[in-house]
Amino acid sequence: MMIKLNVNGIDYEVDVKPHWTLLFVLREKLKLKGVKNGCGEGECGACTVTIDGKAAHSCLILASQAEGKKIMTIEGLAPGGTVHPLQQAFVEYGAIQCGFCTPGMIMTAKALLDENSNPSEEDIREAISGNICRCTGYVKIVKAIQEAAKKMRGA
Amino acid sequence: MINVSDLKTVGKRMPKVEGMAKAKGEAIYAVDYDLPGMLYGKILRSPYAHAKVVSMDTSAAEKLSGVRAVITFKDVPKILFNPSNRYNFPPNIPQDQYILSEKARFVGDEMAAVAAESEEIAEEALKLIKVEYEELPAVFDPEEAMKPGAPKVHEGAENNVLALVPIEQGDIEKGFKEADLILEDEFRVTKQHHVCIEPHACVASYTSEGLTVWSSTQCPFQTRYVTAKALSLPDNKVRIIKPFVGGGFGGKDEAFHEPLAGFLSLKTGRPVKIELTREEDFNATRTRHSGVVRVKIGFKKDGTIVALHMRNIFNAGAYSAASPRITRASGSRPIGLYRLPNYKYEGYCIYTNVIPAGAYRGYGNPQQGFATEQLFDIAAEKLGIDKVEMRLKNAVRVGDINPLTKSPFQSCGIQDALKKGAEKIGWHNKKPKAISKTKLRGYGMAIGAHWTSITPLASEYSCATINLNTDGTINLMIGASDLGQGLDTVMSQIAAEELGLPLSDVSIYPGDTAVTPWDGGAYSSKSTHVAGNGVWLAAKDLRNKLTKEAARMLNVKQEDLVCRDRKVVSKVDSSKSVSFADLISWMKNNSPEPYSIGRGIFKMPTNCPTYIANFVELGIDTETGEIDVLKYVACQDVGTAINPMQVEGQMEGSVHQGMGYALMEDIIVDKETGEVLNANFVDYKIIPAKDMPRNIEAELIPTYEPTGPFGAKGCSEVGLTPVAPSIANAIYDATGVRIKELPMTKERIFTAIRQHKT
Repeated sequence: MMIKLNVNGIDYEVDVKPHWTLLFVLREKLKLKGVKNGCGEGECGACTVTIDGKAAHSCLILASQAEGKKIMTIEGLAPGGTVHPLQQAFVEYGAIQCGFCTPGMIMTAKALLDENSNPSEEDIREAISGNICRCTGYVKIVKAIQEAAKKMRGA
Repeated sequence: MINVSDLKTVGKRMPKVEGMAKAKGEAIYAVDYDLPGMLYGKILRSPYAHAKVVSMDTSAAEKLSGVRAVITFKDVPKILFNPSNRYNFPPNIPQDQYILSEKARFVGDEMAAVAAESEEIAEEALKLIKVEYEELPAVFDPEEAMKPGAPKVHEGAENNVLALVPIEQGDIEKGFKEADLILEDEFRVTKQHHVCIEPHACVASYTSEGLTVWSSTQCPFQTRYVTAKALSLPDNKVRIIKPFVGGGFGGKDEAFHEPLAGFLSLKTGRPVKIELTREEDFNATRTRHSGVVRVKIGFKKDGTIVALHMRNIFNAGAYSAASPRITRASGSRPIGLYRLPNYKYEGYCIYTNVIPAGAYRGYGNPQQGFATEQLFDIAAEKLGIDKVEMRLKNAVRVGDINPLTKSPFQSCGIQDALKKGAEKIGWHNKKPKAISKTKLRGYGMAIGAHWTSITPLASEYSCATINLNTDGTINLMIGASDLGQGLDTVMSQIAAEELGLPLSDVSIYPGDTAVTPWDGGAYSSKSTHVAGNGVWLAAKDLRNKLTKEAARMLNVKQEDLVCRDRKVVSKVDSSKSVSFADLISWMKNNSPEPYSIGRGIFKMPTNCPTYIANFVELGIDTETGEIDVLKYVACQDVGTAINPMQVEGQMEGSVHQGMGYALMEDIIVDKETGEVLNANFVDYKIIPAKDMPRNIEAELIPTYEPTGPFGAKGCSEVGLTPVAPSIANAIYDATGVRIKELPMTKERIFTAIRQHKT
């Protein structure tokens, strides 16, 4: 069946099967490979995108359920050659090791900061607890989100 | 000795060279490759732990629309191989696997495979393969497997003993005779899983030019060696490309599905992608070795250790893979850390019908550390000696003879790490034990050492080449592998420093067996030292060539020339200088060698452990067994930290994985069926951000290893080793309860506290 998806500000018409997940369509049909598949069961958070501004595991949502909503993947976070403060902070503060959890982690952080521009450490840790990182122990990820928040607030 | 504080790039907190590509979602991993005409490979796995195939009918699967190949053991080459074979090392490595098996040796063993136009079709086709199995008696526990009459996992392995590894130094009997205190105990360790967030994946493409595989591997050259052997192809017709890798930790040390995907591609004439599901990754790749560690240890009254006898029984699972090597490595750990006049090790590596074990961060170290570091604490208490003092007294130091190389240790920061850690945790100024009515405070510590490479057991070497661009920037090519630990950045820093270039002038091209020079792979905490020296030599070679040409051009002595700020400059007359770009342009017309390539080939001459001391302050709720880590301090000696921010990252990540190993992680195998019962993130928990301690301090202990690049040595594995014993020691400190079995779940702690009270 044909559905319309709005991803990173672009309207796509995609021919999908009813049981296809948003993750599958983003990766395999729209070739947005920045969206990662770590488990396909909604537990690791590597596939996190934002849907109407809220962080969501794209492996748990059918592509057809995302019709009419605004989807953002890591590829859409900073347009053109620009860099989002979260991306800058993740690089600068050593929050990235293997990088496989990074796109999902950054999208979760983005949704958090859009809702709460001045989160506490506890808010950050709570928000990213659906995103597993196996490399960093989260220390530098938490720091990077705090620093990005500061920068975005102009503090 | 180079003064590291004078350096511009080395020793600095440089962001990762590939960081922005990862942050922007541009970084491409093996699983992200889609090739024209690509098929999807899926594997039929055995539902039985031990069974023979009586018949296999693939006709229905073959008829399914979209299926392009269905293969079984009958189709694959009859070539036995070992996926962990490192260029014929070790020489007697057991070859006990085919690409597909006729006999199932664990639940999840690979019996048949399908290549189809989509993953869905491939999955559908698997269901249509009819297999009749004859179930055989199975054995899951290594101690059971060693008993006479136990089911035989492989023909020819008497009592399922895959390898028996002895190590001996001094006279163990004499040592125990000299001891005033002898302790003997047994510890049980579990199957931790690597849980790389990127599941294993590869894309193989066989054409008339040969086989190319994009692989999530730690060891491209080893993977080429294994794949070429398994498919009877020459090395020059197998190209392994390592794109970005989503975590390794040892779990991507071996060749996994490269031979199978390669064979499917060869058979279909189409590229084939194999991507494991999370469930397959959990139940059919590798785990850390579970087993039993039995230790007898003897001390003099003053706390000096005089004898250590360790007997490990390691559960290798269904296939050899790297198990004999890891069993040996476990026995080589204590001699890198403690002065052991009399030491005996017996490592039993045992086949069973469970998921095979393999390399995992620490490579046999965490298992023995869980035992020996608790026994050091028990002994210290019995002898009335402070636990930090016990380690200070017995740990190796500079000038001691390295038992592996028979030459003196040239760098060792364990003494300073112990002192620094004690100070930071407040070891000599502890807070009161009672935190609340039910919560008790405990302090614990443990130390570790990890050999940098496996020298002298094997020849370790690594190579690099540097191509010079017309504008004076460079392209650095290495065979060594970054899996996220930061190697590409560290290698780039070394080249930039030596050539006087900013980091941004270095582009790195790693891990492609067709174009990059040889490296053994990312294992045994060796890459910073061994690959780093290869890069350093290549940079020195290029510097030497450039200064030679510049000396001709500027009419000065070569020895007066240095490279800095993208220029060759005279030390004695700074007006004599030429930019790299101008020099290269001059060379084009004026030099008999108009172009320069830097090449470095480094052979590891020695072995130099990295050392760590960990300290923990925790609270235990005695009514629930719940642990709350209040403060964790890790102090590590990596020699010169080429990039302190990334070393900290390795240390912090090690605490996280180590806490998982200590408190909760374990692949649970059904005692009746051998099936893995927790092959998902709900049942196999990874500690989330909200449950990690808020207070983890990673402290670098500066030393200088003269054989390392700019004084650096190994880094990434040792951090995990002391975590579980430090926590076990703190649990004892708080409650008087000794936990000798992993994981130390709250149920286990709660039960132990209950039993202790009664």
